[in-house]
Amino acid sequence: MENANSCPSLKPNEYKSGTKPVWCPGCGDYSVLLSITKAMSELNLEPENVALVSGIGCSSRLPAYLNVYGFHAVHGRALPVATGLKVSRPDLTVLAAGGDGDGFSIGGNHFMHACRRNVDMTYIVMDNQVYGMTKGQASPTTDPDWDKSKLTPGGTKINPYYPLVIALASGANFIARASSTDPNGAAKVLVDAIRHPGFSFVHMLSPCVTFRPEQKEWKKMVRPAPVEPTTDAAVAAKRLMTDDNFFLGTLYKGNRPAYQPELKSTVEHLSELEQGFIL
Amino acid sequence: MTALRIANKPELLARTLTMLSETVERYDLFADQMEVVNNPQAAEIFRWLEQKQRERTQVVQDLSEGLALPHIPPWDYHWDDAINIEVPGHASAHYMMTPYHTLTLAIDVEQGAADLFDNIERDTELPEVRKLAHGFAREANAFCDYLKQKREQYPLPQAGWDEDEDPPQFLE
Amino acid sequence: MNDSASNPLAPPQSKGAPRSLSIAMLGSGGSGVMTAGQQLLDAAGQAGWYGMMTRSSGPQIRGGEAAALLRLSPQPVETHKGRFDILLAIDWLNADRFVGEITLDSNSVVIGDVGGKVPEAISAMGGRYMELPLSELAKGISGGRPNMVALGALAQLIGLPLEALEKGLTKSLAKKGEAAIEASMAGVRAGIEQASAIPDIPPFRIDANSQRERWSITGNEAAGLGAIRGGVRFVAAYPITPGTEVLEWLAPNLKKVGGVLVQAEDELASINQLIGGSFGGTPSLTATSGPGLALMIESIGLAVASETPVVIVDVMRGGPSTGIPTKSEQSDLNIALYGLHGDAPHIVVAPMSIGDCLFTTQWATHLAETLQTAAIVLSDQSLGQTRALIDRPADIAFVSGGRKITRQAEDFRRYVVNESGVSPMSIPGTPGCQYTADGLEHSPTGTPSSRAEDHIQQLNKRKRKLDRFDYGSHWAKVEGEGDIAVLTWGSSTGPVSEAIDMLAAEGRKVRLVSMRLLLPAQPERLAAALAGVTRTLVVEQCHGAQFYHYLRAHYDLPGELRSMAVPGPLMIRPDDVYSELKAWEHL
Ligand SMILES: Cc1ncc(C[n+]2csc(CCOP(=O)(O)OP(=O)(O)O)c2C)c(N)n1
Ligand code: SF4
Ligand SMILES: [Mg+2]
Repeated sequence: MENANSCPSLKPNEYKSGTKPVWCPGCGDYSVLLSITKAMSELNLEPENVALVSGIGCSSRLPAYLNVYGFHAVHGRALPVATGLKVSRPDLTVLAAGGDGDGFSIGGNHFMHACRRNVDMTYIVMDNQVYGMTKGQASPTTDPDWDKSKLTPGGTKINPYYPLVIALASGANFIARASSTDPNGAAKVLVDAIRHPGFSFVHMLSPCVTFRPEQKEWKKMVRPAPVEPTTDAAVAAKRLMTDDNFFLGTLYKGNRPAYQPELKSTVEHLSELEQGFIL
Repeated sequence: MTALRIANKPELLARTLTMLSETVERYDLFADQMEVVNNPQAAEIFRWLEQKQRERTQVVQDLSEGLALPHIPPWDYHWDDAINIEVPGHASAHYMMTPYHTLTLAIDVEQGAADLFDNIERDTELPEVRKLAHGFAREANAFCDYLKQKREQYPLPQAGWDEDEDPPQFLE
Repeated sequence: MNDSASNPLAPPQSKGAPRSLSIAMLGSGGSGVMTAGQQLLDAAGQAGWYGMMTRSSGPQIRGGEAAALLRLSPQPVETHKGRFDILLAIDWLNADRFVGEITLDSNSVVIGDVGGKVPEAISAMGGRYMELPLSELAKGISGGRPNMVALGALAQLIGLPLEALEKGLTKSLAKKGEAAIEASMAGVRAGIEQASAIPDIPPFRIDANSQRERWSITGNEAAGLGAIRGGVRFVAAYPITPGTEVLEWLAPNLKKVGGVLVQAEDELASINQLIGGSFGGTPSLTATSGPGLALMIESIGLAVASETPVVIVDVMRGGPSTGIPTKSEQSDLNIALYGLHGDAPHIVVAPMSIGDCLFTTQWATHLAETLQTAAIVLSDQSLGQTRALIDRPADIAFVSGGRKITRQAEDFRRYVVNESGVSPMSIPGTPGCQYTADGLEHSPTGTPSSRAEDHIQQLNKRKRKLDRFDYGSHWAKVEGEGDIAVLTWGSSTGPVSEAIDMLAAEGRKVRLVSMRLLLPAQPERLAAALAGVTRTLVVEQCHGAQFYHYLRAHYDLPGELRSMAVPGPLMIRPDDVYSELKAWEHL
């Protein structure tokens, strides 16, 4: 019962908003939603002190389904919104979430820089290796020979992107993979990710039953990583480079201090700022 | 919790309650999903299941009255979201599912629950746990039979039940 | 030669353009003309004068040709004149590139180092040429430099007291130590001595007219101060010329007031970081220039739709694309007004002088916060990067009615449709008032909705809140009377205003209307301001006459209309506007 909270004051269900999701029945994102509520309950977070920011995509619809402060931003920009919020309001627990297209394609630059900046927040990317919301185009994590999209007849013929490797190279302080097929295990990973200071990246496998029905087989492929989380980036690099995309659990835990400027006034009156202008 | 040994009666009650209430929530969610996708037949059965499950939960709640139940973190439960043992998995829902599918899903859940309680009954050395688990297993089996009976009212789904001639929607 | 006609700095006899003295200092690679110009301006301020200085330079990062363009006056000045009284060159390398910016006539004085060769294009303009041994004198002083000798000579020519120079130099060289100050002062004294020996130079003298506290400030710094006075405590930005100095001033100063500036990875990030900061309850602002504004546009729409206050200061430069980064233009008007996709009512305001960058930015912050929307401030390179001596701007406190709530409220609906159009905005941390801000069209609770009813209600609400607000007299500067008017905005206001003063001195009355508030348009107010006008000249620094077309689209303008639309990089000068007005019907 490691990490157990003696008695959560709110049940997971009490973190839900009551708005009915528009996702396809069977979509992995439902399970991710559940895991997030379980993690928040375990961490005893007060809903008013949590903010979840997302971009655009099926997965990015998440905030509206939670009873915390939410921001459903534009495509690809969840991380900068979350960054601005956390830096100016360090008292809040800030989560960002979205899809593989949102986070790795249109928002790819922000992903790198969020890892590097290491603001204390948790970023959950629900990876279904497809653009669900726009009817199933290839994403940066799609295999080169997946040929079901009209936009890329015969497949993309481009190698996929390895988000965990990029996260490590860019300086993320916590790197883990979880799967919607195991919502309880995912809840554990999320609890650890939220607790860990700095930028935590959770690669969340979340099948798209509509455009990638074959991903239902993921449940047979995922398995706990046979390793303990390492604090050694070199060990982590090797681990992530040889990872087959289906190992679950916390893979890297860094110890870089989080970026958080001190927000403390040192002047009595604003007129002190004007001194430099006076001749 | 399949392979677990139960330490005492409060632990069994706590685990059973979590399992049942998660099932209530899942049926509620499934009913919502079916309403959203305009599948009223499936929605109706899920609502009914939710209601039934709520009543059963209340029974266990009453049994727990006055007892201090331990808090067990989610990751101490080994449920698989892709299959329906003990609690229904999210992945089992389909927007075109028929009442037959709906009841089959619930039957799997009850079967899983009954098996679990059987195992607990078999493995435990504590008489009060054994007694309780026995009762729960019997109840789950009975409900399972009832569901099977109910399912007979509905036709077996035809091959191609999930074929949709229209493409999915483009959004956002 | 002591009468007021030959003394540009003599107090004005009648209302007209301010009496002033324009000085250009030229030099290339390491000659230190900018520093000397800055010293001259500071010293003028110490002596109680007003003035301004603009930097102009070639494209080189180091070693290029540079010009410090100064205008000094006993009265506040807000624009340069085309004509210069004194041109001093430490060297003449590539100096002809400045010909378009500097006009000389036979009354001008041109000073060069001994043995220098004045470029043809410059000598052709006329002016009395004389030489001073700038480098030779500098060589005779340990640590001496020709720019300080030049500074001394200029100070002597214009009657700037030695104490004023000494005060300024001591202050700015304090970090470099005694020896540096002494070397500079020795150079200055040598220059003074040399210049006083020149016969026949018109005495450009004035008496110090005021001992009031004088500020030396650029428009970019003023915008920064306006932001902080307006309550801004979070800034995220990506550097870009000529907006960067807003950020350079803000970074250390925000820190002092408990705020922070984050250097973002790009403008997409900076605008979205602002949205996050503002969602958290912290007034947030960024500064950029045209290319950055273009990148931000999608998310400015998000701020509008999610009703999250943000302020974007666009210090405009020549466009399109990378354009002319170091020169001014007013050609981002269209993108600021119309760049957003969808129907996205927002605020666009423009400062009309360097000092006004403070007020307008503070006002923009107030409007954004009060109306829960995006406000774009259109400053430009000429305002942003010109340093001016001004009186201390008054403290202004706006009563913010932002409806931010931090305590649990009954029946909280973030986007509730009400009469004012401004809904309550709860700040994260407030129990019971959680909501999801959304750029998808939404119902009053914030739930995404594609229903016609929700769309029209929210569209109306977002428009209504801007339309119903009372912007008071800040919407424009309206001055003068008569049946002819000049309609302008932003940095074109300075030259227009001075041209009108020139005409006033001739007994011609011309009305000035300079619009600070560009969006939402104020047709009734403008109609009142132009009542009785039969002819209107529209002046702007923009090739495409964007302001003129904007006026035609949103306003009923009385009488005849004429457009004076001049692209950068050369600034509109008062003389240009004066001539345009004179030429129109032989005014
Ligand atoms: C600027 C912009 N470009 C394109 C889109 C269209 N769009 C919406 S969601 C999406 C992709 C979503 O894919 P992903 O992030 O993987 O989310 P999923 O739907 O798979 O959960 C795209 C391309 C948009 N909304 N905005
Ligand atoms: S399209 Fe795919 S990702 Fe989107 S809701 Fe449906 S199953 Fe989920
Ligand atoms: Mg996706």
